[in-house]
Formats: sequence, structure tokens, C-alpha cells
Amino acid sequence: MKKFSAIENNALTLTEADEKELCLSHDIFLLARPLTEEEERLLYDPAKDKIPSLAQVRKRLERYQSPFSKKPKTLTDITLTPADEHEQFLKTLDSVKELHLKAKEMAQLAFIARMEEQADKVKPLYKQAFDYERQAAMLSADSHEDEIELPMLFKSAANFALEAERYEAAKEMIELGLSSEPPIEMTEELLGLLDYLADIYYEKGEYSKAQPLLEKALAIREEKLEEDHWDIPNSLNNLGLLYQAQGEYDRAHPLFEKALAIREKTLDEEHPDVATSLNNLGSLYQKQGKYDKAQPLLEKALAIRENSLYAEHLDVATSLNNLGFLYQEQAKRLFEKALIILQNRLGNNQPYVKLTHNHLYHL
Amino acid sequence: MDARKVQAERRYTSIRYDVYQTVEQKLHFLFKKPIRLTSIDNNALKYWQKIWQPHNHRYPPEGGWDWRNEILRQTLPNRFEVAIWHEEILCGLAMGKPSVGSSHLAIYLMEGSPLKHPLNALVTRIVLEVGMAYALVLGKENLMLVDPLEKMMKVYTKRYGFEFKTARNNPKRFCIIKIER
Repeated sequence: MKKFSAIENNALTLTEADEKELCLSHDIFLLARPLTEEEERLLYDPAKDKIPSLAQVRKRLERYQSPFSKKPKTLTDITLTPADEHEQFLKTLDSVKELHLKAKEMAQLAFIARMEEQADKVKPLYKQAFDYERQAAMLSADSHEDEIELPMLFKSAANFALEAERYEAAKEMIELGLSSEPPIEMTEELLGLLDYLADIYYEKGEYSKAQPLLEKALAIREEKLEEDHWDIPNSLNNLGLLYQAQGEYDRAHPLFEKALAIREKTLDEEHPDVATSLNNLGSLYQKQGKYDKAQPLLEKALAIRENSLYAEHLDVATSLNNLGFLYQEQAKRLFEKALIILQNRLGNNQPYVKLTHNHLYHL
Repeated sequence: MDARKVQAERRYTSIRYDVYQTVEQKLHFLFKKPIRLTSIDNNALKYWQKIWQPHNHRYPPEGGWDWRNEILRQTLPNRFEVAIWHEEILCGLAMGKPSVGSSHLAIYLMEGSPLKHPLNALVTRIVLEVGMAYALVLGKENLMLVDPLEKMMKVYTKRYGFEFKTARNNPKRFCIIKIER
């Protein structure tokens, strides 16, 4: 058997006839050549084709699992091949299960305490839940490499740490979860937690702690997701807002522009997320004093929000506020310019000059 | 037409139907969206012509294939084909062909709607799911994406675990992944 010309590590092994067939298929599909009878026979010969029976089809389909979406198994589902050398391993696994169950129990108690408005009990209970879950995750990480279970334990521990307001611990758990090569759905969930944690730091004004988290979230999304995946503009916006809050307008600008471009490409023109992106970019121009560029963006954002949201939606108020502030700044500049001309021509004591002064003062 | 070929056409149509049904169920579970999978039938071709065509400014290999022509040319009974719908909106089309032996199923053409649609960023994933299931049913060992677009390479390799390969003969560039059994 001849090995296909450039295939390494046995990914595909073909006979010469197979290789010829593959080459022919390629030409027919991609080079759009008409098929001769001879070629058709080469590509499909009913006499040689062993079509799977209905029973075979059903049996094979029963086995079909999506290879792209390995959902986390529950801990109780974990089965291992029993063997003497694995006895210790099984004991460890029992310990992991036990710790996980304790963590769940504590989290349930914390939830009940919150429902019963016993605020002083909530955080300590979540702290206990976190301690147990962290132990379970670390034990699991040390003892074996179950790629599905491990990120789930880290994610759960991070959740408990966030509830207990232990942010550094939450960060550690998220990062460990991300480094354990989780399936893509779990990666997205862990990145969601990273965004949430960054948001907490942002709200507290701790920008230097939020920044590396948002940068990491964006880098991972750009690496692992489709170019126009809906999570990417969210990530770009979050990081842009952070740069803007730190006065780094030049770094924020390309991020807002890219987020707007993706949303305009993938969403309806009147989608509220498009308005959010227009608003972000418009507000940035406003902060940079580029009022001519800011105005059409902020006006368009308002128009979309008024059309797509209900009249008393908070985002409509935000847009009205932003636009009002822009008009106010534009008015201020006009009054200042008028005042300079009037003062030069009429002096300071003319009633008209005083009136203009008054307009400026009351803005 | 050869009676055996007619019979084969019937059998493979039925196999593809079973594959669509199974994958649809998985997709409902995963994405909670009203996704429908069908062959590239008259409904799909009508939708393509009336709704996609006037807005499609792509050119092969970036998309923009004449799907009516492609489906007419593909007379092999065991061909791979799928039309991906979100309720009554056609969101994606794909075509391919299994090898005569057990080595692979190759996907040659894949295109998402040129219009904004509810399965944005999911069409590739869905085509790969259907491809995997069809390859499994036919007993093929690998799923192959022929002449992958450069801009999609990251998605195929990093997100879905394909390996990128090159060869001296056609197909010169392809991505490949082993079928899990």
C-alpha cells in the first residue's frame, strides 16, 4: 500500500486507486469539470458499494456523540477501569466526590441564608463551599487528568469564591480552569466569569487589576472563536471602556471601531447592541473633543434605541443624556466664541455682553 | 438509469434523512434553536435563488457557488449534502463526497447565508456535526475539509481540532480529523 504523498503521522493512508479517486473528486467539485461515465464508475460503482443496512445505520447513529461539545460529566458518572494499581486513585476520586458534595451542600445553605435575608451568614458559607471545591479541584488536578471534570471543578470553585468576595482566589481558579484545556463551551463560561470579575474591579476603580483580565479574555476569544462571534464585540467594548476610563483614548478607539464593524456586519441595523457600539464610539469622540464626529453617532444611537426599545428604557435615557451633554458643550463653545468677539468690539460693560456672559454662566 | 443506482439513491436518501434527524436532536439540545436539516431540495434551491442570490457578492472559493448547478452535477447516490434551516430561513448549504474505501468523507463546498441570519457563527459547526454523523454511519475513518479558507483555518484547527495537511497532488490543502467511534 502506498502512503498518500504528504500525509504524516498516519492521519490518512490511501492506496494509489484511493489517491486517484480523491484527486478526481477534487477536480469535479472544485474545478467544475463534467463527469464522464468512466469517471462516474470510478467514483461510484453500485456493484461494489456495500450500503449500510437500516439496522447498521440506527446502531451507528445511537453511538453518535458530538465530538465538538463534550459536556461535563457529573461526578457520579465517572467510571474507571478497576485495577490494583488504581486503588489509591479510586480512593482519591472518592475524596474528590466527597469534597464536591460538601461544597454543594455549603452553597445550598448559603443560598437559603440569602433567601432568608440572613446576610451575615451568606459569605462565610460560600467561603466554606469555595474551600471544599478548591480542595476537590486541586486533588483532582494532582491525581489524574480528566479533561472534562477538572475545568468544571475550577469553574464551580471560582463561582463560590466570587460569591464569597474572594476575588484573587476566584482569579486563580479561573486561570487554572482555562489552563486545563477545557472544551470550548467551558472556555466560554470561564471567560464569562473573567469578564464578571473584571467588571467588579472596574466598578471599584481598580483598573490595573481589571485590565489584564479583560486583555486575556479578548486574546483567548480572538484565538478560539470565529472572527465575528458575538462574544468578541462584547470583549472589545469592555476593554475599550476600561482604556477610556484611564484616559487612554487612542487605545480605546480601534477597539470600539472593530466592535461596531462586527455588530453592523452580523446584527440587524436596528439592533440595540449596534446602538451600544455607536454610543461608545460617539462618547469617545466627545471626550476627545471631536464633536463633529460624535454627534451623528450619538444621534443614530438614540434613534435606534427609541425605535427598538420601549420609551422609558434606561438606555434611551442614557442616549438622551449623552446627546444633551454634547449639545451643551457645543453651545458653550459657541457662547465663548461670541463673547470674545463682543468683548473686543463692545467692551465688558455693554448689556449685550453681560447677557452673553449670563448664557455662558448658566450652561 | 441503472436500476442498482436508483436503489442506491433511495437507500442513501433514507440514510441521510436518519442522519439529519439524529443531528437535529443533538443540535436542539445544544443550542435550543429551531434548527432543521434537509437535503438540498427544491425548497432550498428556490430559497437560494430568490433570497440569497440577489445579495450574494461572494466569489468562489469564498462562497457564491451556483448551488443549482452543483447539485445537478452531483449524481453520486452516496453524496454528502445538507441544507441548514432556522425555521423557514435557509442559513447554510454544504456538499461533499465519501471515499469509495473507508478512508474519509470529504466536504468540498460550504456556505452560510450572505444575509444576516439567526445561526450566525453556527453554520460551520452544524455542517461538521452532520459530516461527522454521516461519516460515522458510512463507516469512514476521517472527515476532511478540502481547500479550507485561510480565514477559517483557526476555527477548524483550534476550535474543532482538525489538523491541516498539504499534499503534492490535488487536493493540495485540506484539514482532517479522525472520526470518533
